[in-house]
Amino acid sequence: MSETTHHASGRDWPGLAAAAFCLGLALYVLKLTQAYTTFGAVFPRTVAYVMIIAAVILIARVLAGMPRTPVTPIQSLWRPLALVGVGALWATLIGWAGFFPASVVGFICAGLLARFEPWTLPDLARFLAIAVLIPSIGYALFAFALKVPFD
Amino acid sequence: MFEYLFQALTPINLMLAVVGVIAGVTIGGMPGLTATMAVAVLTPLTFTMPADSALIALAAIYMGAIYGGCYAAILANTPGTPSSIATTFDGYPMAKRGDGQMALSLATIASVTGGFLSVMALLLLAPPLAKVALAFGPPEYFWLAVLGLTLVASLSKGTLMKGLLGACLGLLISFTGSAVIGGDMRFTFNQPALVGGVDIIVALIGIFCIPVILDLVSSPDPHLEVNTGTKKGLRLGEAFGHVWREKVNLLKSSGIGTLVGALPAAGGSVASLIAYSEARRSARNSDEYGKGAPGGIIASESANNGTVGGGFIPTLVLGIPGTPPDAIILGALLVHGIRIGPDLFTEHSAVVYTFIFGLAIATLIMLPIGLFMGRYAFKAFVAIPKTMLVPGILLMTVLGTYAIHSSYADVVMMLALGVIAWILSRAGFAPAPIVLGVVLGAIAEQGFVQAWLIGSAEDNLLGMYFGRPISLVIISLIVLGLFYPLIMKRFKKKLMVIDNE
Repeated sequence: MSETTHHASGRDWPGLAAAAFCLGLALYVLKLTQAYTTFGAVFPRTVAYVMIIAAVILIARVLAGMPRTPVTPIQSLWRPLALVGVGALWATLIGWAGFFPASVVGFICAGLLARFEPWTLPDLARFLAIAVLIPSIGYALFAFALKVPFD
Repeated sequence: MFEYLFQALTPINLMLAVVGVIAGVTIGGMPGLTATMAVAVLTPLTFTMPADSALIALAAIYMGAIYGGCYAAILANTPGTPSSIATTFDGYPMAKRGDGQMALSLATIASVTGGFLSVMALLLLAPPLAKVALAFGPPEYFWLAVLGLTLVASLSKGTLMKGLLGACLGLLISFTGSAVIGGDMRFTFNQPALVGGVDIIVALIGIFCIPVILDLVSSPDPHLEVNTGTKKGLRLGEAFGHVWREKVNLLKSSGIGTLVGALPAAGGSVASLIAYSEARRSARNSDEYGKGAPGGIIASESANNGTVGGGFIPTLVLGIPGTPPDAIILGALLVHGIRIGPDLFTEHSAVVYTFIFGLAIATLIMLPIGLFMGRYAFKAFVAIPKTMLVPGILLMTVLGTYAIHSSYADVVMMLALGVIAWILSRAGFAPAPIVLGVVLGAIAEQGFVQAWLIGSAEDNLLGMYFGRPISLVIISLIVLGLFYPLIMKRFKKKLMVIDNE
């Protein structure tokens, strides 16, 4: 991956959104822990209070003009989003079609998303062969050598 | 004593050490497959062997697996085993900037040194160290976890508040499931899969690995830089130079690893995090930690391999396993008819000392094997196109996560945590503080609550937390860790003013 990062540009709105999410989560934790015993609640409540303080400070700093934290730039946003979809499809297919078929489908979809150059026919054929071979090896290793039950 | 050394050097024991290390490194290098799993899966193969050979094979697998975790940590930012969490902090930045092979060389040298020193401690200092381990009670575990949590300050990229919020999220994840005392079902949302809590490895794979995969597909750039010219290859001379300059760090981290390994239930992840924290605190170049500092890799890797020898101290002396693989090896000893206890070193001295020498030899063998495997692992990793790398890593994460409890729910949880960690990473939240919270949350809570109960029963609550010698040492380290950078900053400012005058 490239080392280049976004340099600070404008206020840290993503940081503000994350802080707001943490603030909401901490308040929800405080609400949930009202039903817990003293020992069950003491740690989550302490953490929630720390979260509230940290989130409020972060929000205040962003509003005061804190710049964005530099992050690795994304050149193609749809690909990671599509890969999240592939992960969800993979997890769904495992329960519906079984581990091995789901892994082959997931492997192919993820491989297609990771390619930026145009496909040639030999490349595609090689990729499809490997897409069946590698999950087969992985499945065999876990199911037969490591005795992991796949049912 | 020398007859046991020669017994450990027989061809069959040497071969078992070599095969054990290779098997361990291979399994440990795969995210999701832990040292415990490696030892557990291969234990039945040793039942027909003589007791000393069986122990050497199992210990070699264990040592190899703990070391092997550094491969995935350095090359893919995914700890192969939880013990390698702290290796990702500097290993992956080094690999990204083109120093991946040297990072692997550093990890190998540090692992071998840490492992070897811990075996020497097992050989020479086992009884007194076992006494120290027994003196650790709930308050000491609580303070130890707090000491680890002070790392948040150094792991926060951007702003401390983001690191603090990340650690809090990790702590909340670690509280999921049944409470230690009281049995409250916390944050389970009536989902049976959450009753047992979120497994550390599931969280580890999701939080570290999924964001890396998502970043890989977001850009056509190569996944790792490759140095050319003189800055290529294993750069052993340079690596040994770094290790020599970091010799105090190496010795201190190996000691921390050995001591933490001797504490039941602490383990390699806690050892490497505490060693990393201490190395960063005492380093002159502490600003470089987290950006690819060799000292960070040396601290983490020497400490996690140090837990192997350390873990055998209470196992062999007291029959209390220091780490989960020790418990399995303890079981294997019982299968071989060897009763554990204070008399072990006299009644079964031949088996015990042959095993300790065998473990020392296996650790030394790890140096050439590790350097050889590291060289080819790096080359293969760099040569694999993204079209294969992305689905390959994704497959390993799914398989590895599923294999922990044979649970599909774990796979879903891993993917969900990974996506959340990726979204947070886009907002400048580093994954390391989140994982720190996940790893240390349960230890801190259990220690705190148990200490509270004991302190209340003894009517000495303050004394329970602040009146025990080991607790006071750890509290001093926490205070030192938090305020040392500020004190140094003031001291440097004063020096500059004096210089200017």
